[in-house]
Amino acid sequence: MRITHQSQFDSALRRISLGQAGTAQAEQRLATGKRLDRPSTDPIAMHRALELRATLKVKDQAAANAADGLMWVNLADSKLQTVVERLQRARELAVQGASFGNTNEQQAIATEVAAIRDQAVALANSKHKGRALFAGFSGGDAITDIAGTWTYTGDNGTVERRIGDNEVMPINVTAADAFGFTSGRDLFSVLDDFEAAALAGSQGGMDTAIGEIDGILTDTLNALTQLGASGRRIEAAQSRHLDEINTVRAQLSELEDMDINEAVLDLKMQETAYQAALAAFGHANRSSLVEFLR
Amino acid sequence: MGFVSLYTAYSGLNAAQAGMDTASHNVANAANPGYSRQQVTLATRMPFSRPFGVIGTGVDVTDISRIRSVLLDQQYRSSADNAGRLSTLTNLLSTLEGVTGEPDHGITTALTDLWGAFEDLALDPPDPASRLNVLDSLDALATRIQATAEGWDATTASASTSLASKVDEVNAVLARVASLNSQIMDNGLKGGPNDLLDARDELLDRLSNMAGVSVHMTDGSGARVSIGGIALVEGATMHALTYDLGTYEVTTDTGTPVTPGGEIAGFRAFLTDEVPALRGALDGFTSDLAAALNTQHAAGFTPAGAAGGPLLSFSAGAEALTISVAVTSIDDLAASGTAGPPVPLFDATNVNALAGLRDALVASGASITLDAAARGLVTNLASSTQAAATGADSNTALMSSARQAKLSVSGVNLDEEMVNLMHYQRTYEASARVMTAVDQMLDTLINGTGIAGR
Repeated sequence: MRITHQSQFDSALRRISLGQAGTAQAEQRLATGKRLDRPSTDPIAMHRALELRATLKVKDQAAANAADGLMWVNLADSKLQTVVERLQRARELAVQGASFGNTNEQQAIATEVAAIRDQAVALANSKHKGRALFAGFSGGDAITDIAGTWTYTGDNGTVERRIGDNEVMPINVTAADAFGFTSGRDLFSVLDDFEAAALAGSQGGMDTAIGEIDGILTDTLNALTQLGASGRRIEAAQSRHLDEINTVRAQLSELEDMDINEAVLDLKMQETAYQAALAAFGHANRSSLVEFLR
Repeated sequence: MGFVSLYTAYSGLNAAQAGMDTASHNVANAANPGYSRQQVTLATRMPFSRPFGVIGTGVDVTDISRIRSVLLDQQYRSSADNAGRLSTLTNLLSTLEGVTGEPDHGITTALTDLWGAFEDLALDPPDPASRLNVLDSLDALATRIQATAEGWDATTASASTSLASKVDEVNAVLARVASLNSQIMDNGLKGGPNDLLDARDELLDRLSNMAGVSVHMTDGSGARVSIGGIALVEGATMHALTYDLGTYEVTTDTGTPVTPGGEIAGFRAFLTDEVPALRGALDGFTSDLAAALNTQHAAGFTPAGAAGGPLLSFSAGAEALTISVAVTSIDDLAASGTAGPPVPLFDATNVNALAGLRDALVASGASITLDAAARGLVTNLASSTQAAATGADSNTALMSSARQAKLSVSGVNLDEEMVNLMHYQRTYEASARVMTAVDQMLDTLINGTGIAGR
């Protein structure tokens, strides 16, 4: 091949500009730490990366949903536990009232029962972030005293949380189910009757109260079991999310991110190639026949 | 015979001078990229017949010719045609790609954020912050779609104007080719006007890159420039190209439609194939998105008990350009699935259903999810860009190797020219010496005869 002045300069120029472009690209990749700087760098990898980003977002959201759901379940659970505790105390009092019985003691039992009732009402109406825990979708109180009758003022909406792909968990129980409105007499009317019976010293009233409290305890414990089951599944989902999110992150990073060692090495290589092109050009042009002619 | 040698030596001086002139012209043009090196063609003069034999009478300069390969010119021009087309297409498609803001700030991200906003609202339906977040996410998505459409349209408009000015540039070059044609043809066949030919070849190279023209040489050294057999320059006659800004059609001044290659083909492929497909897909995605969201939203109820109105609105025919959020107040969001009255404050049934649209096959004729359709938009564009870029790279490499090959034939090698220069210098010196020798011989004859014994 004939080498000419033009072709020599032309190819040198091309090598030098290729070297510069390579160095600039390597620098950019190292600086951003991203392998996929724009979609057309690798459309297939980018498609996969976008899919993974969406998946990551879905999983993050599911994890947030699960955390929110778990807080709900735990709160409802602790409230119901307290109700159960108080009911057991009421039952003890009923047993006590049925066996002994003098006016003072009856008075004391009535006072404590009234206190338990008030506490139960407060627990049934307890709220989380302004929202009643046991009122379904309703925005108001779960239990209201309407003209002397305890009434369930919520609805039977099932609050659900999506905690995974196709995994939707109910996280609430309604006061209607938990406190006996659905199955028969409600907890609050029972305690009202109990208080009246205690004041009146009615032995029969005590016996009735024991039976009724047992019935309501069954409902409340059922509700607790339901919440417990939801809680356990949500906890299981949470630990699964952690693994899944890490896996997706790792895959995404593999697709998108630059291996730093590789990037540094690449930059060094590109720099060397660039310098070699410059040096070669300088060297090749140092000698010319003109130098040797006089 | 003495006088013949004098003229023989003189022809040597002449040839050496022509050689040195050509060499110095070559050296002077060493850095001129369009220059083809020139070479002096020498031939022996008509010999002189004498009774004892034939005596040579010196040298003639018969021609000063360009050293250039027609084959390499053709190779260069065909790669320049493809390189021009694909580089133009790559540049335009990369601009479109840049406008999308993917992967970090594009439609895909805005869409994912919207699903997230719905799910956040489902956690606490009456929360004003969550409601506002849904409206903001809707707005961000609509704005992103609109900005993408506007950006693409702006690129399209600028591509159309660039195409118009490219056509003007081609016309200007065609006019210069026609005028060079007439100068070259006037000059006649003998001793081709090398530098005019070089100028014309360079213009023809540019024409190939811009419009992918075919070039044929006609009698009398005219260059016939044509596209698909339709002549644009024939001798000194030129047919200018005209370009329709609406249909992107290119025709000659006689109204014949032509299909140019090169950069013009790149612009036209972008305007007539790539953009309509991409914009169609974006509009389709927009209307699918709005239809799916609006239908689901209409199934729910606002806190006041009214059925949900449209979330997004657009005018048909310009879906992506006109997409906007139709709900203005956070109280117009229909989160509840129960009509009431009263509408349960914390009912998130409908908002859950809206979030569930993420997995619903509602896009592209109910065949894929909206997420997949948005990703499809990105990857289709990315694939087209990558394909064009790869083609452009390989054709640019081809073009540069064809250029290298051309330069290695037509380029000037300075060392070679130095050698030529020395060669001709020595020829000159020797011819002068011959002349001196003849002169001395004649001196002997003229001044030295008849004085024998003096």
